[in-house]
Amino acid sequence: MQTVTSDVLVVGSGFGAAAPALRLAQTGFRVVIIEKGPHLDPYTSFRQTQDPKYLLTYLRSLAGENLSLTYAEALGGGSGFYEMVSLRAPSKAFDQVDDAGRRLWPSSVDRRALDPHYDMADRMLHVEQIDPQLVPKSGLVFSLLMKNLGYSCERARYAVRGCLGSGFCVTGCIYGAKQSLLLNYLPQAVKAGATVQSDVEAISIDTVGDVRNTPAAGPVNRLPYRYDVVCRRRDGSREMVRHRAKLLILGGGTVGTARLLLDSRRALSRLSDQVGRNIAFNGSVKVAGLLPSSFPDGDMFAGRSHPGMVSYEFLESHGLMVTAAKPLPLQAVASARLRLDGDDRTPAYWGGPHVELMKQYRRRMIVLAAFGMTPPLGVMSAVSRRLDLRLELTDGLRHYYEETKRLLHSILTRNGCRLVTAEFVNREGAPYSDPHFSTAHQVGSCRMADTPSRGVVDAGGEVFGYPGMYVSDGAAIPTSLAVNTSLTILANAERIAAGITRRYRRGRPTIALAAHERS
Amino acid sequence: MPHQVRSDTRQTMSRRAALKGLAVLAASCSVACTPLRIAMRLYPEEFDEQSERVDRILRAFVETVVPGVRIDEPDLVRPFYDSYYPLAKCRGFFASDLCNRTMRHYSSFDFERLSIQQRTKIVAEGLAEGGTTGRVYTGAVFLTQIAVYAGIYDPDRGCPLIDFDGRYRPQDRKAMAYPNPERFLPHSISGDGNPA
Repeated sequence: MQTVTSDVLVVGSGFGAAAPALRLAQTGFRVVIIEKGPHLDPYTSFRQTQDPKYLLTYLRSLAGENLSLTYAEALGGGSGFYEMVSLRAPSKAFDQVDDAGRRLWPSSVDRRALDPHYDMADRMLHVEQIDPQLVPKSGLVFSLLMKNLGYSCERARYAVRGCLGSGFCVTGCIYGAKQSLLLNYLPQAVKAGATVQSDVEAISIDTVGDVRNTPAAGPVNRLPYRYDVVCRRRDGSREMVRHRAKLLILGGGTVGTARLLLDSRRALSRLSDQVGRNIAFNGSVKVAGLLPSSFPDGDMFAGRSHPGMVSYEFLESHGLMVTAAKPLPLQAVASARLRLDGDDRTPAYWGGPHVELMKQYRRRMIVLAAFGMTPPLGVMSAVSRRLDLRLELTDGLRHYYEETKRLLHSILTRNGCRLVTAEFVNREGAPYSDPHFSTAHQVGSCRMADTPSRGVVDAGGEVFGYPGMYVSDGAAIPTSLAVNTSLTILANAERIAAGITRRYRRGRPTIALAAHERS
Repeated sequence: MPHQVRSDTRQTMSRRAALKGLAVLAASCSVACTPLRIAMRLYPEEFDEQSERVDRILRAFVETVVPGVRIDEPDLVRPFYDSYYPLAKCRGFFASDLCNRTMRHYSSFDFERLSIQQRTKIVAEGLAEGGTTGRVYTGAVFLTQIAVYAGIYDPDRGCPLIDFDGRYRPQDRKAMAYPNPERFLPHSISGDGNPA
C-alpha cells in the first residue's frame, strides 16, 4: 500500500475542514486534504435541474427513527448546495444546559469568544445583509404576516456576491455568485501549498506508536508522525492508500467524522464513549398555508432559494427562529404529502384535489419554518458497516413539536390563511406516523466538552486521549443553534485552527495574509 | 377480448413458472405473494415489454394521479422505465395489477379505457393494500408526482401545470421582488440581521 506523508492530514473539505486547511497551509505546514466526494468546479459542475440523479451524486441522507439527516459528499462539503444563509448563533444558544443543569458548551466557548472568528468567516465569505430591494416576494409576504401581528423581522445575511436571484441555490450556483468554499478557502489553501485529493475515502485511523508520549506543542517539524489513516480511492480503482500525518484534523461532518471514529474504535481504545451520541438537529418544524385574497402573491420559484427574511421574535420566549421557506417542487413533493386542511375529498394528496392545490403552490402558498434549541438527543451507531440513527421522542420533544406547530399555525390563521396539512414522508413516499425531524443542520456527534465523560474533544477541538488529533467540523458543536449552522461551524473551525497554529507554529507565517483578512 | 387476455395470462404464468423450475405447489402458493410475483415475474409477459399497451396503461395512471397533465408528453412515463428507480423492476407487475383490479370491478382488463373517476377508485384500492402491493402503488404515486411537478427529465420544460419553469430564465427585478419593499417590512430588533 502506498504511504503518503504530510504534516497535517485534513479529512473533509467542508465548512469545518477548509478553515484549518487554509490556516495551517498559510502557516507553512505541509497540508493534504482528502475528500470522499467528487471534485466540483464552481463554474462548470453545477446544474439548474430537479433531476434526483444529479442531486444524489452529491447529496446523501441518513434516515433513522424520528430523525433524518441530509449532508453533502463533494468537494467543499455542503457549501456548494446550501442556501447561503450566514447567521451568528444567538448568545442564548451557548447557554443551553443538560438535564442536570450543566452548560453543554465548554466553559471557555461562547458567542463572545466566537465573535472574532465570525468576523473572519464573514469577511472570507463576503457575508452581507440582503438589500431590501432583493428580498424575494415570498420573503416580503412572510414579513407582512409578521408585521400584521406586530412581530419583528430581520433581513437575513448571505454569503453571496452578485446574486441574480435565479432560485436554484440548492442545486449549486451556476454563476459562481454563491460564496461556496470552492471560491475562497479551498483555492487559497491550494495557493498556500495544500494538496487536495477528491474521491478519497478515509476508512480507518490508527496510531503510529504510543501517541501519548509525543509533544503536545512545539514546532511541527520536530513532531513525529502520529496517525495513519487508511483510505480507499473512489475513482474506480478502489486502490488503498495510507496517509501518515503528524496532525490529523477530522472535518468530514457530523455524520462522516463520527462514522470514521466509530469504525476506528478498535485501534483508538481511549476514545470517549460519547462518539456518535448527542446529535443536535435544530428542531426544524415546518407548516404551510394558502394566503387569503387580501395578500399579494408570493413566489416560490423566483429570487434566491431562501426568502430573505428571518424573525427572532420568539428567540427569548421559545428559543425559536422563525422564517419562511421556498422549496422547489422536488423538495416539496419528495418531503411531504400536501392537502388542504378540511378538504374531505378522497384522495386528497393526489388526484384532482392535489392538482388544485399545486396550481396555487407557486404564488399563493406560504411555508413557515422554525428552528429551535432542541436538546441533543440523536444517536448514531455503526452496526456492521451500516449506520443506525435514532432519536428518542421524549415527552419534552413531542411537546416542543406540537407547541411550535401551533405557534406557526397561529401566525397563519390569525392572518386569514387556510392551513395546508403536510404529512412528511420517507424515501418510499410513505408517511411517518410520529413527529419526524428532518434537517441538514445536524451537529454534535463528537461534541466539545470540558471532560471526556461528557464529550469527545476538548474546547480546542483536540480528541481526548489523542494529542494532535482534532475534530473541527459540525460534529464538535454541542448544541442546536436555532439558526443555520454553517457560519458557526466555520467560525469554530477558524477558532480551532488558530489554537493549533499557536501550538505548533514554526517561526513566522510563511504565507502572507490577503488584504481583506488583515482588515 | 378480456377472456382472451385472461387465457394468455394462465398460459404465460405456467410457462414462466416451469422455466424457473418451480414446483407446482410453490408456484401456486406464490401467486398470492406479491414479492414473489414480482421477482418471478408471475404475470403476463406482455406487461414486461415496452409495448404501446403498457405505455397507454401507465399514461392513464399518471393522468389519474395528476389530472390535467398532457397525456402525450414524451417523458410522462419515463420513470417507470428508468432503471435508476426501483419502480422500473415492478413496472410489469404494476401494469398487470391495474388491469386485474379493473377486471374485478368493471369486467374489462382495459384500465386505460376507464373514466378518471373509475381509475381513481382502482388506484385508491391499490394504495389501500398492505404489504408490497401497497408499497408499489405508494411508490408509483410518489415518483409520478416528483417526475411531473419537478420536471425531472426536462429542465427546459419544467411543469407548465404549476407554472414551474424548470430552470432560471432571465427576468427583471420586478418579477422577483416588489417595488418599495419597506412597506412590507416590520420593525427590526437586530442591528445587522444577526441575533444578539
